[in-house]
Amino acid sequence: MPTFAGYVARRLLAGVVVLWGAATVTFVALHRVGGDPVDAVVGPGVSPTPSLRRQITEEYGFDQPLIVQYGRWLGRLLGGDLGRSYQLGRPVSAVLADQVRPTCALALSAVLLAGVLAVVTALATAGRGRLVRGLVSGAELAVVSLPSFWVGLLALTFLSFRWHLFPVAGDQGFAALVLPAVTLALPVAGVLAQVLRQSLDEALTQPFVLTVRTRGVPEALVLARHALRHAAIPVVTLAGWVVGSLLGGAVLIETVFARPGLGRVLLAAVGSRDTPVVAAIVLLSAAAFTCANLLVDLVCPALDPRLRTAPATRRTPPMPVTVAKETPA
Amino acid sequence: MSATASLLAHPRVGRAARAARLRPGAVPALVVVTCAVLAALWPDLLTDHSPDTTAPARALRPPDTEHLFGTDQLGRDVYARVVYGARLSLEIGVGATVIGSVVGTVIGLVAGLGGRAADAVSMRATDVLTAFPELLLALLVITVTGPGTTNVLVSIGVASVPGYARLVRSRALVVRRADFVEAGVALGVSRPALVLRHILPNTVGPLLVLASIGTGTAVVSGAALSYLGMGPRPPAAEWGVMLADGQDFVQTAWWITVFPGLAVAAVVMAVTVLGRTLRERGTEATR
Amino acid sequence: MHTRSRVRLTAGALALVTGLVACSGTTGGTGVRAGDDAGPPRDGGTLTFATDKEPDCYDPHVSPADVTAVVMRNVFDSLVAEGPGGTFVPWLATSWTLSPDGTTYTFELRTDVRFTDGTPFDAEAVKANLDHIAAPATKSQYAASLIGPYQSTTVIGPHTAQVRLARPFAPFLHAVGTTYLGMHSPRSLRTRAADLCAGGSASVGTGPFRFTAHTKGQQDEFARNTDYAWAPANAAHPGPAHLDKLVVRYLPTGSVRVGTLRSDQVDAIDNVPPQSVGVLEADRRLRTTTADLPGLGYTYFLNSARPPFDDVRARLAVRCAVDFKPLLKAVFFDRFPQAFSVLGPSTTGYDRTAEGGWGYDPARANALLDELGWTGRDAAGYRTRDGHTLTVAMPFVPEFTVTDRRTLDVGVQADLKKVGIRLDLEQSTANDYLPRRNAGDYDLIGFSWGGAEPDLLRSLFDSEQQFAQGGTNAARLHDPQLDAWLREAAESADPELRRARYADVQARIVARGYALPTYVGRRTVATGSAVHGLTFDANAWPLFRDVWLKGRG
Repeated sequence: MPTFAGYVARRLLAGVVVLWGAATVTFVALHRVGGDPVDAVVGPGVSPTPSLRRQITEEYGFDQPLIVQYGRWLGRLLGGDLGRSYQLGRPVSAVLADQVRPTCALALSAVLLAGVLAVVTALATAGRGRLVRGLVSGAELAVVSLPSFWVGLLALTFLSFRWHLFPVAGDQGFAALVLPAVTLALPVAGVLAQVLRQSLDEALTQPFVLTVRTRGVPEALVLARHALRHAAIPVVTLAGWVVGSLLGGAVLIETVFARPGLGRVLLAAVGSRDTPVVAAIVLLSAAAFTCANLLVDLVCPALDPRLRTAPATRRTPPMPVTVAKETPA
Repeated sequence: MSATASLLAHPRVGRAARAARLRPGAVPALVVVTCAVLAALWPDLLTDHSPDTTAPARALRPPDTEHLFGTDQLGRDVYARVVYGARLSLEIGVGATVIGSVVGTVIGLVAGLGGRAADAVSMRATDVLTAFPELLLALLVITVTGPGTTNVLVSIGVASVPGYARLVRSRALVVRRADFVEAGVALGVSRPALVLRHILPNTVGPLLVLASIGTGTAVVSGAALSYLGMGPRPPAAEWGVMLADGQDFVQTAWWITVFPGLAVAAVVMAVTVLGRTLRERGTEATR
Repeated sequence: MHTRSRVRLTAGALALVTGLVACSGTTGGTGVRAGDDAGPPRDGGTLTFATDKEPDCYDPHVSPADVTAVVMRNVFDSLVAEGPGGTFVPWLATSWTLSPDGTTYTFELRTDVRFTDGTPFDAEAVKANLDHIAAPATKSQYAASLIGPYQSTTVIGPHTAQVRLARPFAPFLHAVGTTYLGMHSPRSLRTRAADLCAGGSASVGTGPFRFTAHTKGQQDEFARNTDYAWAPANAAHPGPAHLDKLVVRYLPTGSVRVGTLRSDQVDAIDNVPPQSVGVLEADRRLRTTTADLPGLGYTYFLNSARPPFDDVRARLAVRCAVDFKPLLKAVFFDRFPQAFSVLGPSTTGYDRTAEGGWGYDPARANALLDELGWTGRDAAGYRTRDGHTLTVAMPFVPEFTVTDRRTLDVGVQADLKKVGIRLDLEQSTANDYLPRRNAGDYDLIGFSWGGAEPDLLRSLFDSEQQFAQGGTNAARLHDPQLDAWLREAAESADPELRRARYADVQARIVARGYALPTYVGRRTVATGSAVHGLTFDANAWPLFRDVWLKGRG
């Protein structure tokens, strides 16, 4: 199928272009940071002697023209070298290596939870009366609107400290993952549930559903097997947004629950202007987002044969949830 | 809430609400937003207390009739701080939305009305911006600018640009291909003039909807960044700052943390509900 | 809580030193605490200790952070140990002598000590470590300044090392006793120099624990060094640590540390927030131990090089305007007493006679300001003179400060407003703040500086220690009298003379209003009731060598 292969190639190329753009934006932004980067290397409040300053400048190549620094940086990136942390004096990849796992564990459990919650509530409320739907959509609105770090703070205080239901604070196995994952999952689940419910309702009005029904298939099966598959597509297209909001949310959740992870490293790096670390984490999340969208573009045609002829019409809006699915068509 | 219920129960208000085909939550939402705007513009209408006056002797009082939301560590009135905090929080929410929608509209118009090259360049640029998770993009901006109210506002605004740009572009493309535009072009009217005349009125509605919901999101993002120490600093009364300040007291003096959090949640929910109501009315009108 | 303002001191500038291995403050005696009737210590078990800050760099030769010194004390031993009041006892060195001219120290070393990688500890190791600190490539941010006039080390015999200084330097032994001058295995220095900051297996010392695992953002793990037999002379026992394992968790939020302790998720927590001390004291399952922090407590430095604080009356007006008692009660729940000297009571050379010597006197503050001509009032009630409002600026960097201190600043701001002084708390980024601070573009700034050795005052008040020169003279003083006293005390080997000079210095700083002391910082550690034997060293750093757990294993 040459056209599909060509489509895949085009999507891949677009992904690479976006990543190159993201890398460039990051580089340019971080070189707008005022002051001498040597100060960031030696740390705040430390006034280095001129010889130390020279030594560091040469070591990091700060005296090179910007375009040379950019070229070198890009070259190293291609080779998988993320540079060296100013603050920690170690390769960024070594700094991040330990942090990827806890963040991924948190994000994956949150996405699973959000998916399950969304499907369950959508199936349970599809085609129901006004009251049930009103209550559920109110709940969805609430979880989407509540500041997640505030919810996490209260959950930590009462569920963990006061009532001793879950251990927290740190990466201490599965039990300690429950509260952070729930807190992170709730807003995502709220959005997914809304989108899924809308498209489920839409699916139920489709002719093919009527056809299935007339064959005497039980309603539950109609919902679960036929309508859900159809309704999944708009949800799947949100994958990029989900990745983004989980990574963004992780910054807050890791801080509230004192968990290790990329988010906390990023915050510390922002505070100390450790630009190589900031650049690496921001780029990593841009890469994750781009990959997720790429996957969506490849998976959606598989889900719905009709899309194979006219792919790449969907793009996930970048805005937070509410906006993503509220954008008027 | 009971106040809202009785308000709705009032025959005239109820009828007005039905006449306006409001969603069930629209009236309380309107009330919340009105209060927040009042608090932001004329805080002294809502409280006699000052948000900054310290009274160490009255520190950490639980809520009572004199201090509706209790007092904080320095004896400041939490209710007054929540009321005065509306200004900074809304400033961030509205300011970010204005930046995002204005810049986004310009980019969207360029993309939709310019040639293919302009479209390709501005859309790829938008793709690149989109690739950064919103909060991370905001943190990247703050790494450059440093913390502070204005910087938080700008960083959230920048992160919201792509959404608006896409919306305006899509409207522009639709209008551009519309029959009446083609007809106008055939009659010799310049295309940009025609398009502008028709795009803007056609776009304001959806833009308003997106902006109202975006304001809610921006308020949460602002509170989040302030909580992380990137926004205004104490003694500024700002909801995110209050949450961060209160978190060490959450076990002993819950009121310092709970009320600003509720304020954020209420405003965001209200703004979102209003946005949805706007959208529904918009779709009805076009039917 | 106790954040050292991380200012680098130029070589020779100072010895901001910190002590070791002795108790201070309100805890008495090393080893098992007085009144601790838990019976004889028993071996075994894992202790999980939660503290707030995580080290950026685990090499104490490089890092200036308190927490690096606290955590790595478990791994690195020193040549001497400091006891109360600036006394020293043998540790890895059995004895030492000072040459008559005060510039050469000769250390006789223990012969039975081995690093945990099997390398024997000897005079070569001492030389390798001191040279490592002084080498420019190490980029030492603190340790090098502690041994300011260091010149060289000579190996006289296998277990005799001679250290030469450029000039007499009384704080030297104190520096030697800190973790910052702890002894790395020479093999690590040779083969793993690039990894020392990263911690973990690269950090090899002779200490009671081995550094076994490091998880950034989470915790560090230490296992008992079973061969340990060279604890300092003031330890409760000379042999291996009682604990099998020590886990240090990093939990930045105070309420989270308190919560994890109360819900039994950790065994001990560091820096209990003042508002929680009462709650924990009331909890019968827990115990709290408190020590005064030595060194300079949180202090406001008034810029005496420009108006309005170039006039002593303006400075004293500020001092009289702040009502510390209610303020400290509100911010610190009466846990931190008011400070009357810039030095904390547990610092060597603290001048007790200053206590109660000054206080809240708004009438005098108003009189002083009237005298200076600030007699007008603007719409907001601030004083004016010739149309100018009496405004003073205090820049700060949010990342390097503690919430409680910000709260205190706000309280001070409110008190100053009452006498008509407008205090602007100006939030800055480090990039904006440093040039501004170095140029003296501020009216006051506030910070604290830990350390048990009073020579720290020299880096803070000597006229040659301006920021631009790499010093920390935040009041921008040029006071020849202070200079003379501080320099005399730094070079004198006579403890009585040093004590007298430092008393003079403290009195003058307060009398002239150069700096405004606020409160005496305290470190409170809370533990579960099974934890015994926790002590503090001279710097109020918790020690784990003698800690044991009852009824667990």
